[in-house]
Amino acid sequence: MKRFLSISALVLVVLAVMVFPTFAKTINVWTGFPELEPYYKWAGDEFAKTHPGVQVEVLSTSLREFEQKLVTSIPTGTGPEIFDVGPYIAIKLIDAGLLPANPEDIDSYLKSGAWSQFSIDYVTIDGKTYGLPMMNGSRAALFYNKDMFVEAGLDPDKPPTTLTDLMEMARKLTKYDEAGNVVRSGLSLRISGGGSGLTEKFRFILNNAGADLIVPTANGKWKNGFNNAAGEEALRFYIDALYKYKVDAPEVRHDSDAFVTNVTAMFMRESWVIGEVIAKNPELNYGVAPMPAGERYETLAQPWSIYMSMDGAKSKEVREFMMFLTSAEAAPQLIELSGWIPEREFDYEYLVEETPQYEVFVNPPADLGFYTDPVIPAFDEVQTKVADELMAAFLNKDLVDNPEGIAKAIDDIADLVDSILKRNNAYGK
Amino acid sequence: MQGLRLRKYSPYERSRILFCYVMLLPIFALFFVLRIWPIIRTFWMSLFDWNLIGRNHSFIGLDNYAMLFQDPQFLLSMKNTFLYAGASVALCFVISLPIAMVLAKKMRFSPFYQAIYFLPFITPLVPMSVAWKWIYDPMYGILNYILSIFGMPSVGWLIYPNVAIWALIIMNVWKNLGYNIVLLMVGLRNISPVYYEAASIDGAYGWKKFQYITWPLLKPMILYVVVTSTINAFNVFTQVYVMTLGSQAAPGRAVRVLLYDIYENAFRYFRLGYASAEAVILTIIVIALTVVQFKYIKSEV
Amino acid sequence: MSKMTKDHSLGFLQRVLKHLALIIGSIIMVIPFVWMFTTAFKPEVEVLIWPPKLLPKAPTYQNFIDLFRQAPFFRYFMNSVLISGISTISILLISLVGGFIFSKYRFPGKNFLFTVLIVTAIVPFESYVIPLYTTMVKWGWINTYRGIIAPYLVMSFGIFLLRQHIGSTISDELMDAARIDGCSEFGILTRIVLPLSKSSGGALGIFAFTQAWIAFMWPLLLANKKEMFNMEIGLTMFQYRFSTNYSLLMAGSVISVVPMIIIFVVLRRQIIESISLTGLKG
Repeated sequence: MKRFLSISALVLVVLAVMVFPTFAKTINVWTGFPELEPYYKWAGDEFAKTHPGVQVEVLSTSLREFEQKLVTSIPTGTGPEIFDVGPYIAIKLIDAGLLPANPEDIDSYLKSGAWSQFSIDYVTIDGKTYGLPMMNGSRAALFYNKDMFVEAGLDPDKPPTTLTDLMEMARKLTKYDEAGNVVRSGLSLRISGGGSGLTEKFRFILNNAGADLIVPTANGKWKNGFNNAAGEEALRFYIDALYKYKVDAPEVRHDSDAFVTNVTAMFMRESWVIGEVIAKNPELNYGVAPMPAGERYETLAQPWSIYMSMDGAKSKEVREFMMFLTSAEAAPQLIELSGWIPEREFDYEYLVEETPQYEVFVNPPADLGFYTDPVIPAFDEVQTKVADELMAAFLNKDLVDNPEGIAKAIDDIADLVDSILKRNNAYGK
Repeated sequence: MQGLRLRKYSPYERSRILFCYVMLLPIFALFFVLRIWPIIRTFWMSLFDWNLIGRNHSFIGLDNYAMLFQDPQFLLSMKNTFLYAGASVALCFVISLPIAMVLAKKMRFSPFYQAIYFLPFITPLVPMSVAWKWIYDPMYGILNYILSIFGMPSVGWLIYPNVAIWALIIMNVWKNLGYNIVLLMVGLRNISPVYYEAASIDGAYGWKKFQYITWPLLKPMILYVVVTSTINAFNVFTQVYVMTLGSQAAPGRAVRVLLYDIYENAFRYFRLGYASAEAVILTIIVIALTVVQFKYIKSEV
Repeated sequence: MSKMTKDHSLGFLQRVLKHLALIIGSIIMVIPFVWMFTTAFKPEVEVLIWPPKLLPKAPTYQNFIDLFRQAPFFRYFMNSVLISGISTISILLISLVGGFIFSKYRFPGKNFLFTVLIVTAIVPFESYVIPLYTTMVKWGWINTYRGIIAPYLVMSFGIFLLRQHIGSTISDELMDAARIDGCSEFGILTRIVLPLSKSSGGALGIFAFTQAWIAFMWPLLLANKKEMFNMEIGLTMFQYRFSTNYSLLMAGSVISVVPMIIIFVVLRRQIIESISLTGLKG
């Protein structure tokens, strides 16, 4: 026991002796994306060259934990000067008056032509702008395996352009074992996993089928937008994919892991997959195509912004660092160090030359529309709770060739959405 | 307070009582700051419409509680948690008791086995959950591979709600086996061999020895193990939390347990008052269960 | 040595079966570890191959090197040691004293105080973390070691365990004998109770150490600078938004598990140590 005590005392002393370096000015940057840390660090070092005495300290952890830490620390004033966070959290902070509207210099920078009107509009709430859109948070496209296309007798340069084609080609691309189980999915859909992501992916199909999850109503309120033929078509797409045509199955691996290991021929995701492929399977012969069209031709494109705290906004150095992080000068490093694509206007030629798969993300077809998550606090809850319901629906084999069943399922989920909106005082007719 | 009835204690006892208070003072001071006061505040918050980052907290009395009982996710969490806790505690106890008995006696390799059975308890939860996801993988997981050797079909362990909860239960039993075994071994070691010798002399053997000596004398430790396991099982959080992350995760619905629901309500939807009410309900349930366990196990002496 | 401690009555076959069962059990216990361990030595390309292979084709130490390059893991490690160490010492002391008093003394308010302790054991930490956090803010303890360690200084379960253990191993007669010999109450605590509690103290020590070692939510909430992270938080670094770097994650996990194993092995002796004092019983 005594020895134990003295050893622990020794450890204590050793650690107490470690002194933190102190600098004239510290800017704390927090993020929920550990892969952004090298970028922030690099930016901090560069920035210090022109701003001696400024030290940038970066803290990162996985997303959910980061969000929890952020929302706990901001109200108590123990938070960072700069941080990046999803719009679903930012809107709640803005709503509670905890985030400052952009000061003049940042506001003019935002509107200086570096960002498209789409991005500017996205960060404008009640006439004021908040934060700077640093990167392309979600711009989704269709990834497909060219070798598998060739093998199935499909033209690798002609990926599906409509939802109907998507299903048809998926059927040709799926492989089965002797027992009839799917061993390689033709199209990998997101059918499980907690959180709102499942709904987000569902909306890829839902929106292009012609419906939105929630739609604005006359007086600035919202209600569900999918209790209609398009909503049913989207659900039917999933059900048919899983049980009628069997192009995907719950038992198979999904998502990027599956694509990178040749267990799926197609799936829909954002640009970070490109980085994954380079890291885990550089030999993969794949292409990227815009989202297949249904009644609509659009894709999710959501900027992910950096924000300042109330105190941070008061400091000139903090504001200048914000602008540096989103400058054209720093943009190449953002791509290189983290794999994320900057939201600002930028010349991506070099990128596309090196990795042609980026083409669809940085030079989308002119007629491709964009939509974002509605910027209201309740949306996150809507997406998350809908995800639970959708998951249950996806596991329900009885919905095959069962239009009434599907209609009922959609109806129930729509009711849920409306009740959540009501509870959050966001519902209108 | 009762303290004023000191007159009935003798001087010896009085000085001893003083000793008690003096020793307990710093302890309870710590408990007060670190546990009691925050708990009181949480219970207080449950009566309000308290947003995590909002400013206005309006008093709404028992409304949170009323809303909870109509919330399908809360009710689902209750069901899942009861099933999860009940099955985990029972299974874990039933498996660990024989193992503890075997390991408590001096046998070859006992220390080696003890270390191995204890390993799961001390693993960081994140990598453990990741490893289990791999084990449960429907296509390439080792579990289904073993099943296929015996000619049985693959099971979608983490896919289908009814199965997923059992997958988590098994994982929990695996993890806590070591905890149970170590404690039961301590309890078994506390039983003086004198009793067994006396019993042997009286002609008792095997099962009877267990019934009349081991079981009664192990009671206090069994009680401790069962009660603490129950409390821990009801408060399960991290494993479930990690299992529901990521695209290969378990379906959220199936593994929604109370503490996960509380966490989501508090930190995702910022409904702190609501989450606090849920915590109060969880507390009351576990207290009730603890009382029941005390009565049941103690009464069998 | 009494005949009861070595069971010659079991036949050879029974012993073999017993070992077989234990071994099968051990394999089950150990599989996730084996996966964790072997993945730590695989280059990233090998991690997600299908079907998954257990052993790496090209084993490498690179992951461990990368680990320390990506983040100050040694610092995280020392932080974990510090936090767990202080926590364990504090919990042991408090549980010993508390367990002793609640077990062997009567005093007004005893039942009330004990009930309060039970309640604090039952309420899950996650539910009162916010009020506790606010207190830390008020005291300026955010991003300090004392703030991070604070909640881990006490463990109600510890008091219960020691109370029940002391209750069954230390008799009132023993205490009276000591008192007659001129021993003070405090002396009883230090000279009799302390030495006799090695067994459950050892078990408690492991539980306390483990609890603090794998602590995650609280240390993350309080640490505003990376240097204050512990190992468990450090491990999350490899869970990027959409993917996970499994090989680094497992390498970090291996490092995290090793000290725990060492602690267990060291304390195991304490736990198994025989505590029956035949001289003082009966």
